[in-house]
Amino acid sequence: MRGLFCGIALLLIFSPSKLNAFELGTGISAIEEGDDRFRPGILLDMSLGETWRSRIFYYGRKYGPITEQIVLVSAYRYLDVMRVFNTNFLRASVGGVVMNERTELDFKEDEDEVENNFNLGAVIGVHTYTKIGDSFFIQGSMESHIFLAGMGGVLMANGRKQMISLASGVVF
Amino acid sequence: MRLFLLGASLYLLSMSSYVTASDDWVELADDEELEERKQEIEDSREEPENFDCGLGNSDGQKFNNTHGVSLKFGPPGAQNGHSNPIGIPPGLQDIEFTYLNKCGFEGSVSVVPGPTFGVRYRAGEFFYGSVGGGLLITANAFGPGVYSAVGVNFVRSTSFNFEFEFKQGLGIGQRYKNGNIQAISPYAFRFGLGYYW
Repeated sequence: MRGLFCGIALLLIFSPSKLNAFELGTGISAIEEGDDRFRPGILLDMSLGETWRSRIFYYGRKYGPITEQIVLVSAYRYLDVMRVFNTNFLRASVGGVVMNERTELDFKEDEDEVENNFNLGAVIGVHTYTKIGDSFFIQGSMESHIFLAGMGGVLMANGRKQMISLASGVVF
Repeated sequence: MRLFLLGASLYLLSMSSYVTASDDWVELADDEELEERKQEIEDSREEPENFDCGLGNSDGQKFNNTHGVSLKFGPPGAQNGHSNPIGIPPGLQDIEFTYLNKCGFEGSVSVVPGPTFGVRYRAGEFFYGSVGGGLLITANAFGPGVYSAVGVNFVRSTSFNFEFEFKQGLGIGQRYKNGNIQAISPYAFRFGLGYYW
């Protein structure tokens, strides 16, 4: 398994490809929320032309009567800032993200409580991308979704949801 | 006496040749070609066309053809699960000092994400990106890793420059408590002032 991941990583690093007009794919993510723990998540990935891309992340957990569901929808623009190595094996990205954190308390004896926390933020990432044949692609990404912490944003207090992702899909 | 006369003659001869050469130089200086050449040199000093320093195409580095330093302030994300407001006054963990050389190499010193060295590249008028490696430090572990950063320069027409940068690292670290190996990914979100010369 470790060899498979190393192989995919090497493929991504040393086989950069040009982006395509429209792509659709799915993938998995390791998600960290600033507390040194990684959580599993899934994503839907689609390109919006050769410069823009959009992603939907979903993850959560059920812990006794508590159910957490987090959805992030991001759109970002590639920045070709890594040309310094005379290759495009790395691309940076900058964009925006909307997030909803849904927490549901399901107590049998009492009324259920549902809380939705909506937030706007910025997404900044690094990506490496390659095509397999003419019809498929693989993309590895490390993205940080930054949200200012309410009024604490005055003092730049922020929270981050970092996704380390591997996605693959179809080129149209 | 003969020696004196011989010496004096040689001296006058050398002076006459010097004067002749100077006159030639003066004549050349009046030449339009020389003036144009001098102007070209002056122009090239102001704006080097492609100062790549062996780093390949550096058309985005025009602004960074100078040396620069910047001091940025902002709260780090040290993976301790705590809120991270910037201190008043800023603590040591809230400060980052960066030196940028005219080739685009940058070296940074900070507690979080740690001391790093990399390359900065510009995309368009405002954005720049950096990539490199260094020693990454979090609240739980430290170790080698790579980093990437995306930033914005607000002012580009003066020596002083407001900068705004997000920097994230990813590496392998050793825990302080038990020595176990784990993945670490510190980040920092900072703004500050740069000076370029």
